Amino acid sequence: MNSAVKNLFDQSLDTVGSPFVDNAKYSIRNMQVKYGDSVAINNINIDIADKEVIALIGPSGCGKSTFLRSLNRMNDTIDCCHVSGDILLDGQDIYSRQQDVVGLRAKVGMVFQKPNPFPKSIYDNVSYGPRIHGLAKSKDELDHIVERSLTKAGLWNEVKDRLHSMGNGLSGGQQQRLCIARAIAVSPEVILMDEPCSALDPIATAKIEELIHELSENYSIAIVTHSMQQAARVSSRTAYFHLGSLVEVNNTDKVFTNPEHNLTEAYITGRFG
Amino acid sequence: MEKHILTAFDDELNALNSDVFAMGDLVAKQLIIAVSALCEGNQQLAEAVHVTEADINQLEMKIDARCQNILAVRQPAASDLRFILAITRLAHDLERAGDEAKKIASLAQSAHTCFSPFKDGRLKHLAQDVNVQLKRALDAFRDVNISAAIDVIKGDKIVDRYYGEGIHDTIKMMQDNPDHIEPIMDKIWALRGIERIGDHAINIAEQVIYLKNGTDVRHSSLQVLQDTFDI
Repeated sequence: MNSAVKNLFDQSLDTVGSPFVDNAKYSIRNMQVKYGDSVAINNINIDIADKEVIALIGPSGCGKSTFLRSLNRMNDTIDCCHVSGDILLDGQDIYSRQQDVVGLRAKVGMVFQKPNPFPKSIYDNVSYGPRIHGLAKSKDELDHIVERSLTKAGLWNEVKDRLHSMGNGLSGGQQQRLCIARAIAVSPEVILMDEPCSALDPIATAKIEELIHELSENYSIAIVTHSMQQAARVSSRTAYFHLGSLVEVNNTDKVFTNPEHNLTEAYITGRFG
Repeated sequence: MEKHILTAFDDELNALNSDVFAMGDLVAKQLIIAVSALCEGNQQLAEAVHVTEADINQLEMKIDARCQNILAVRQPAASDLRFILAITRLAHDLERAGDEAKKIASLAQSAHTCFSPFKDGRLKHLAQDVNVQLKRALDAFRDVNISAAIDVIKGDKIVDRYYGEGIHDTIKMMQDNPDHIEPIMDKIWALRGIERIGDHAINIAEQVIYLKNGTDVRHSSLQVLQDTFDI
């Protein structure tokens, strides 16, 4: 590592910018996540606003996915993972003993990098969540939820005549929109997206991005992406992570035209990886 | 600033820098040559300005093409984006400054031989001052030096004052020589052209501030700049 880059790494990594908002959906304070003795992310302080799209960017291994997965306790499945600090959703600590984790994940849906439809029909993929959460009292109501979810996900017109075909028979982009429909079907309030377009072509990516734009009217969305252009296109705020620290949170326009921290500048201009 | 991981991107930015400074050098020389052509009635110098003007225009188009390519291929952000935008503005200002020099040279080509209002040295003096302003603005851009850029902006007051004195003298010259209004009007056009090149130097200096910290200071007063940057 040359001296100029090393100097960047040696700088204080207190978060700069505007990490806090007035209409917080999530309020995260002093968050730390450890895998065994290894600290993955440390001293994270940030709000995620109601009905905003926030992009989480940073080099591989910086902790952005760890952060995202902590927001609906997906890291609970990893034995050595330990989360500390305050992670409040609508003012409630999601790591409290009273928290119903299944209920939390219904409220905070997740879409992964690789589309992962259940090996079931398109209809069953979408109806599964509402069914197990008891959200539909009748078959008609369930049908309505499926249609509404697929419509919101921009997939209804493409699949309405083959709802009982296998979900994994769809194209990659359609499968990802099916996964979004599946997440929407349980009426979440937050959607977490972990590189949702990394396996998709530009057309499918554009459809997902348009969908994110439409969904932002009703949901808070946090999206991890390695595409700077995607972060710039879809989000209103951007958070830059670096080596487990939250370096900068600012309006996306500012981050991509005039970032406050020179680590952010170096990353988004491609001066280190 | 640290180099990019993609070395070809650095090469492209360096090439842009080279082109814009080559253009700046040409324009600065054009101003001096055009004013010499007018003051000395030298047609060969005037013709040389016209020939070089084509080179300046070509450079502007070359810079535009390079910027277009970088925007499409590299999708620059932050300081890189500001650099590209600033370079396009510099190229535009330099091209306009080159046009002003060409207009002054054209006055030489149509100069009246019976009466010359250009012997008092005013035009050459003003041209030298503006030439220095232009070079200092380009140096400030190369060094990304806000303090130097603001010095250039401050320097425009001196240019404006000298321009005002020149106009005042020239009007008096008209009153004293009512039979030679046309060549004296040429002097006013030349003074105005030089002063406008000074304005383009200011525009370049403003881009230094934009490049450095992202603040668009176009159309801001000197007082606002001094208050903002505490200089």
